[in-house]
Amino acid sequence: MPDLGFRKNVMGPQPIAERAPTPPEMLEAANQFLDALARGEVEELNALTVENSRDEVNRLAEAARQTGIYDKKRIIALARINRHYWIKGELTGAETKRFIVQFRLGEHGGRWKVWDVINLTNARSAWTR
Amino acid sequence: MQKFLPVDKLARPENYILISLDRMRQARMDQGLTPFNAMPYEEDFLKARLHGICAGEMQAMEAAGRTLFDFPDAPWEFQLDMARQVWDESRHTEIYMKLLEYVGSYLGEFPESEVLWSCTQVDDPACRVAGINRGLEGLACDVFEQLIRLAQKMGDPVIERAVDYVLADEITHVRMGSKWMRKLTEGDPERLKRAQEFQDNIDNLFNFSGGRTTQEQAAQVRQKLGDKEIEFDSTLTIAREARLLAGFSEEEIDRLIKAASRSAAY
Repeated sequence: MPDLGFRKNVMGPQPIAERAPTPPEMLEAANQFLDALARGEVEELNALTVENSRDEVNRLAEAARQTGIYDKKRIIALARINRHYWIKGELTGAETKRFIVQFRLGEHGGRWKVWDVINLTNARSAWTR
Repeated sequence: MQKFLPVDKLARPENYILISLDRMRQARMDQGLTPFNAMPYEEDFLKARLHGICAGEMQAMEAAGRTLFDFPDAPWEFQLDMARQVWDESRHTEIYMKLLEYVGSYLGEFPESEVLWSCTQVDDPACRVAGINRGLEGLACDVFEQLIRLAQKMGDPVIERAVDYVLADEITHVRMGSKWMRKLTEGDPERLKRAQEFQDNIDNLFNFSGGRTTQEQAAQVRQKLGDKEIEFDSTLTIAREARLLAGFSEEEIDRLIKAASRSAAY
């Protein structure tokens, strides 16, 4: 009995292309952004953000600061449009409401920067924001 | 259960990225791309196009199910048609999930937008089927016909046959839409007009500001797909033959083509 869990062991069409690898530098920048958000490091957040989106990021940092103190972060989801990546991340802490943020990272001047942010903490989805 | 479900209430697992069409377009423009969907000349075209279709099939499944639920007083045969469509769309979703895997992608690689679901936001079943079954499923005929031609050029029978199989269903969905739009508005020309206008709005939403044309008139561009390089349409074409099979009249198709080219002038 062939092992149906592995595609290469199954007769029939095989994938014609490989999955696109996720750039490790992008993930590093995503984690750095979430860490800075958890610590409320506005200057670091701004350094990681393209100029046009800094006001939005400052508002996000203020909202995170008001929600509580966080000691854990997690990337919940990731999707891409061409070479820009959307990341959904959460910050959690003892006796603190979960803070959920969705942001877009893309290369800018040789560095991964944040282009867009959405605070999803009290939202069901980003479809109406 | 709530009727006429708004866009932000459509449920998805937490590990999905959902973004509004506006933000999706902005992300493309920030990378110097056209604001609309991935175009045939882009590197990730096949993956992104199949992903968009897969998400569309999922929303089409939900839309048909919602139409069934939102209009409990509609004729029994109408409800049966909608139930059949739910089953068809769920099968299509599975087919496209497998095609995604086939081209080296997976559901969730790209974000999902609300744009198709936003076309369900109407409380008349005649408008609903005009918009979903004639507008969106008509668009699906265009998209699938183009994908079949692309697969033929690539020499890929897997994509060609899988999409052809789905297209056969979409054609019946358009026919169902035409039948019910007319039946539900019998003796009420005002209601028929409203339904047609609702469909026109949806057609306009998806003509990409005049970027669409017929297969014969589409400019050809070179593109690399897998290990092959081929010449193919530079934009999404309007599939006259598939639309005729689906029951659109020549006049309706000509009107759609004209509307697409009129937008281009603006």
